[in-house]
Amino acid sequence: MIRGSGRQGFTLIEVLISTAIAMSMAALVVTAFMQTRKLINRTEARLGMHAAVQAIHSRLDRMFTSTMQTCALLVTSTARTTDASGNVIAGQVRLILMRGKEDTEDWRGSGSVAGIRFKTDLVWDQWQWDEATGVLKAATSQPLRDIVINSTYAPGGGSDLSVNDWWKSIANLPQPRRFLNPANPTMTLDDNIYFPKAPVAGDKSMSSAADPSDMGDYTELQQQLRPVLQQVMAGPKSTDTPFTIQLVAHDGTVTTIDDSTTSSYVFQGVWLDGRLAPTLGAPQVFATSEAAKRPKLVRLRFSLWDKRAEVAQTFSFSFALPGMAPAQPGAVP
Amino acid sequence: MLQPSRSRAGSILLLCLAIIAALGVLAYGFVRVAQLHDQTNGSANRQLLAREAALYGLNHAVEEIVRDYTTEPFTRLDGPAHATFVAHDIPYSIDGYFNDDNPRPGSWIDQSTPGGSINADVDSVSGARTLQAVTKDTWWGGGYCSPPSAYLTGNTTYDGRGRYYEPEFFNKAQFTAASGTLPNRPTIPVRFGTTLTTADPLPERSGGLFLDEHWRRISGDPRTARTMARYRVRYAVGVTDLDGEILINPDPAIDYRDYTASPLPADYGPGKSRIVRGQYALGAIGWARSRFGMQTVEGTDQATGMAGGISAAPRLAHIFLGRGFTSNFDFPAGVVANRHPVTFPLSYRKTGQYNYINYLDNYPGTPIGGAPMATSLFANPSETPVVSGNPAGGENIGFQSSQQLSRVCMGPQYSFWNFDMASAGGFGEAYSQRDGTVRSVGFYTPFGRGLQSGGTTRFTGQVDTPFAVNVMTAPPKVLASMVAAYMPPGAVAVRYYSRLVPTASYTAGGIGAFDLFVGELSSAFTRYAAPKRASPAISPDYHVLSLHPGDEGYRRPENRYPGILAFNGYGPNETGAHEWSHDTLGRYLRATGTIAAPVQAGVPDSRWTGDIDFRSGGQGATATATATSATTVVVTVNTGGSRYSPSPMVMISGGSGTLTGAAATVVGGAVTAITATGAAAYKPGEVLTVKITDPGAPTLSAKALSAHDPYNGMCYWQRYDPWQGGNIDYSFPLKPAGFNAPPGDVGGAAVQWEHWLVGTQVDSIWETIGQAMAASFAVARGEWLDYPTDNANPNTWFDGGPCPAAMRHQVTSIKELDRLFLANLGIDLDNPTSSTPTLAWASAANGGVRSFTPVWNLASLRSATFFDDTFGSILPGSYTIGTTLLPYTAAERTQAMEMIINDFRVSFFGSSPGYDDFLPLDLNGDGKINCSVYPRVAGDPALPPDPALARASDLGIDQFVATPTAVAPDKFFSSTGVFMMTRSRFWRVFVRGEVWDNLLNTVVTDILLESVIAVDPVNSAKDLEVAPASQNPKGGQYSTHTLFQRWHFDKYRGHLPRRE
Repeated sequence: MIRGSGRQGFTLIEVLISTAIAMSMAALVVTAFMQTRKLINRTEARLGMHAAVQAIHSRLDRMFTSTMQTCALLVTSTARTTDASGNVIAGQVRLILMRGKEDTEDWRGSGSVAGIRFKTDLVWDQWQWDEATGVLKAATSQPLRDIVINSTYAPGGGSDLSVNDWWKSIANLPQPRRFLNPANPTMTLDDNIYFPKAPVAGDKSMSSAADPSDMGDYTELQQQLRPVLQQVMAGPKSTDTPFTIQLVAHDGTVTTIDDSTTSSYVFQGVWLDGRLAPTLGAPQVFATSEAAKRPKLVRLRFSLWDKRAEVAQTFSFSFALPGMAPAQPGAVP
Repeated sequence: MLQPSRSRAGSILLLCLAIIAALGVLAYGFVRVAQLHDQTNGSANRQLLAREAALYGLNHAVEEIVRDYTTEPFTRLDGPAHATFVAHDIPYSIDGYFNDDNPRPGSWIDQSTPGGSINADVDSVSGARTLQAVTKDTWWGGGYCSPPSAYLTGNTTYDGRGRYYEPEFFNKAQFTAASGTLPNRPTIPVRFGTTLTTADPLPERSGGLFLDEHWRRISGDPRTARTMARYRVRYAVGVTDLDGEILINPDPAIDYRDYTASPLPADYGPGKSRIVRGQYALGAIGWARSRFGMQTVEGTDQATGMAGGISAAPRLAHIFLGRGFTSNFDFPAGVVANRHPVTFPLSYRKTGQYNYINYLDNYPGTPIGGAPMATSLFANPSETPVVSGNPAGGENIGFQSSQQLSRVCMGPQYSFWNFDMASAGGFGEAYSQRDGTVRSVGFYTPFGRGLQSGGTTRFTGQVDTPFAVNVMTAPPKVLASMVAAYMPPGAVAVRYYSRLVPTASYTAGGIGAFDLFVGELSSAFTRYAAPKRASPAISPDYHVLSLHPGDEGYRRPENRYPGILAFNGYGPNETGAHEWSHDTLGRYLRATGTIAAPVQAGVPDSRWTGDIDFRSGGQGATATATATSATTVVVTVNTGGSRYSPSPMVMISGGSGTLTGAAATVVGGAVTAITATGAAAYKPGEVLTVKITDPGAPTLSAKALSAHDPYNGMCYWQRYDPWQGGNIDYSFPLKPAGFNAPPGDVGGAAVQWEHWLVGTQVDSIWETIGQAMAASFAVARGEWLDYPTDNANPNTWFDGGPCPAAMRHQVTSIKELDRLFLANLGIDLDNPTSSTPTLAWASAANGGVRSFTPVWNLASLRSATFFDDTFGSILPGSYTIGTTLLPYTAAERTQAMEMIINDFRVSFFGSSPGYDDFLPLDLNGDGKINCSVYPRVAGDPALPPDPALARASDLGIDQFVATPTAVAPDKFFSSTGVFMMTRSRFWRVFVRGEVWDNLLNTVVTDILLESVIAVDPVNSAKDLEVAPASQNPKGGQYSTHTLFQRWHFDKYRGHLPRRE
């Protein structure tokens, strides 16, 4: 039996319909694929955000729960403004506190010998959000630092002291400061420069303020700042927020710090002996004490905005600071 | 018709299989990814849970601390705050030492939760190891905790690994009444390894936190949920009473940075004079502590040739005096060859002979090559002094370039480790000179509240130094160091023995500490000026370098507290012109043996940790015998020949009989039979023990020194360490002028001296005081002892047995401790002129083990003993100043003793804010009360001024009130701190949070949290009169602070779970 040759082809209608169906299917598939890909991208973005934020949260949690209540806590913000030329000046929010260091054996310094020195278990932490870049940065001061000795220092009159020798490292410990000068807190924070006075004539001291390596805590924190989170910026939704810090004090006061205003809050440290007044003879009034003004709760709220994936996610955390012991049920008979 | 190929049909099948396989692979991939994702989340969850567990534990600790504070009269070692968290079976054990009380083999912390079955003792498996801040792991493995040596000196203060609790699933620890009988241990909570069924009662707190494999909380009956759970959370807590430690931050009000004036540290203001006094007291305490711990194994001190740890003492002193620390030092200018740091010289001395701590001591040697070491522990005399005296007291912190060293370790300390590492300068645990470094953990604390000068309210005091420790929780070494540091430098002596010639010995004059009995440091001693030293020019110089005439810094006895009558100078073996200088005032005021074995009054029994051993009993010759009748036992005692008559104190244990005529029997005899006759108290065959407690009696036969050691009353046994010959530097202690080397010294290399003993001068009144204090510590702490430790077993504490019921919980205040102290001196607090102290609770008749009935030579100062000819023959009857011959009477000697005892009481007891009715006492019945708190009565006795010194000579006995009734002093002093029995406010809390996997049957995550808690800083809980509710509207414990908190992190293990 011989088949008809006409049956071996497709009619135009068939081809057109098939093509249309195929194109429609392809369009659907492509659309679905694109949407799926977009969804995957968004999901990946969200997963990445959550993973990054989880790490940040863990770090923040350890930091806040290790906060030294006896040291001052500094929170500042710079408002996002527009200058006369219409240029936007980006805002900034930052937080500086001292905490207990986790590892008592922090390897530091050059050489095998210096590497095992450890002098303190206190470090300063700084967290800083820059609106311009949308980058959240963090810094931790070293438990001790190597300070370059003043080049004029020559106890024997010669130059036999190499500035790189480990033994000239001076334990310039992070200085706990119960008080910061509210008028210039960073200067106070930076005041642990060891030999700050300029050398006098004939001075052969080991260091001087003239030496740029002779750092203070604040200076070192600025040098140690590293990005830890990107895309920290308010997204398109109204619920997206810029980086915001909210402090709830023991007396109930709530302070909000973001880039809407320029502000500087210094929360002075409590007395090392737990007192509430400057002197023991003075009335120990909790309500007026520095302890009452210290934050007992820190809330962080910020949004991550991945513009490529068109994903904006807002995160908020609350951390309890180790200031006051919680009420103890049944503790008092 | 076309037929499909059969082969193509097979292809379709293969294609299907391939698709299925691909789908399978994909499905596995998805499943695996999901698993990993879940596990990843699980790891984070575990870590967070462990952290939460630690916070749970902290809250529990705070609750118990607050409960202790609000319900107990004072904080004690085994009070609720401690005992709640003590391991069940091996409490406090620190070195794997096991006995009946610690029966279970110990293990390292990281091995505490084996993967096997849940052990019934899982709550306490790590009790053998103290819970330490530093968990050391290494890149090559290990996973072990640092050895417990850091807590050796304070081991009874630290709780050890502790008892495991589950959050909100336990019975609250309940304690018996304060007057209960031994033991007084809390109710056992629900043990972690105990399974509860619904038939069992719910624990008092039955919330619990029980999670399934998806980290979901299991609801329902907690007993059932607990058995169903995949994950459970638990914690162990260790608490340390910081009020039992020395406060190295004596005044938190110090803020050298006055930011309102200048932020620059160079503009630090001078310390308050009171703080300066406190710093010197700290230096003396640190010196005392370290001098008794110089047996470290790392090597020999470069400066002294002694065991390495000796330099810990000046290290501590340097730090406390603000002269910098190991990494913060100053160099002299212009000297290359001897370029040692001048402000912290000990860290950088290197002679090329030793390099055992190369990163500490090799500085000058390496770059220069064998530079000579500093020749003094404090400064090189050839250099321009950088530490200059301050007329107002203290020392200026000099700098070669007129700049100042930062007082990093002088101001308020915010970390336990700052000070440790500042003194160590390096890797402290294993290689440093330990006793100045890591062993200070558990000894010093930067957190606490010091007594305030001139204060009038509770916890404020009226003292010169700000230190106060809770005597019931303080580590033994804290107590011993405070007492030893109080004593004049000449009172505590160092004695050396030749290894080659055992009979040869050399007694160094004094321990070389600081003299705190000077006007610059306490207004009570204004008559005594601190000496001056010309090179280096330090003035005033509280460091007594020499007790030998002619040496720089020497002060004549009349210029030193307490004057010539109680001068503690040369040792008792001095002869000739110095023979009189030895203080023998305490000879007849010997503290009686209190209990047979108060071995832990001051130190662990091992004696290796180094302390003055204040034990008063149990150190005499011992003999045993079997009773031959119901009333008689004859014991032959070899006293070895007592150097002095009259007889030593004789005491017996076992049975309740009394000795008849025993005292008269054992008078300096070599071998004496003692007949003890009791009132039908003995049983035939009963083995009785007789102890001779005379300090002169030899007992060191094990150390082959019995024939030469007069120091067995209050002494420190030093480790066998040769004092290397050839490079002996006598600078510390100074070689006495005219010192002739003993027979073994044949020129250097062959000489090997053992630095063997540190103790008080035998027969010195300081020894007597130390013994009485030690016995009081032993009784007071033993009365409240509940848990056995390595060193203190409540079942054997009192003469081999438990504390008799009559003695239980009797010492409840500092006043009662004072009463006990005086009773141990044969003095009745309420009737000091009586010769018989009465403590009914301690008497044998009332069930105690103590009889204060004195023998004739143990009476109070009023005893005729002190006026008899024997006494007068020991000390010269006169003393010559210039050309004036000053006769002294026996009565005046009792006045001197009276003043010493009263002053001691003022410094440790009377200045305690909890002892409001303290009074100095007339102990010798002469109608005068001699005490340094009273103003000096001019002209009594009439003494001519010393022309040579251009100042009035004194005897130290002309400060008194001439009244038969006590007069309350209006001004107190405390040279090295006061003892308190109080509710402690500052606590260090370690919490180990763990996540337990029921499926794997092991711990899968753990973390360590350290916190410092200040309880109720405004006194709201108990002292509402100080802080009325209106000032603290929240009331209660709301204002309890957490001052310090940190997580501990193992850099090799991180925060990762242990096992997936």
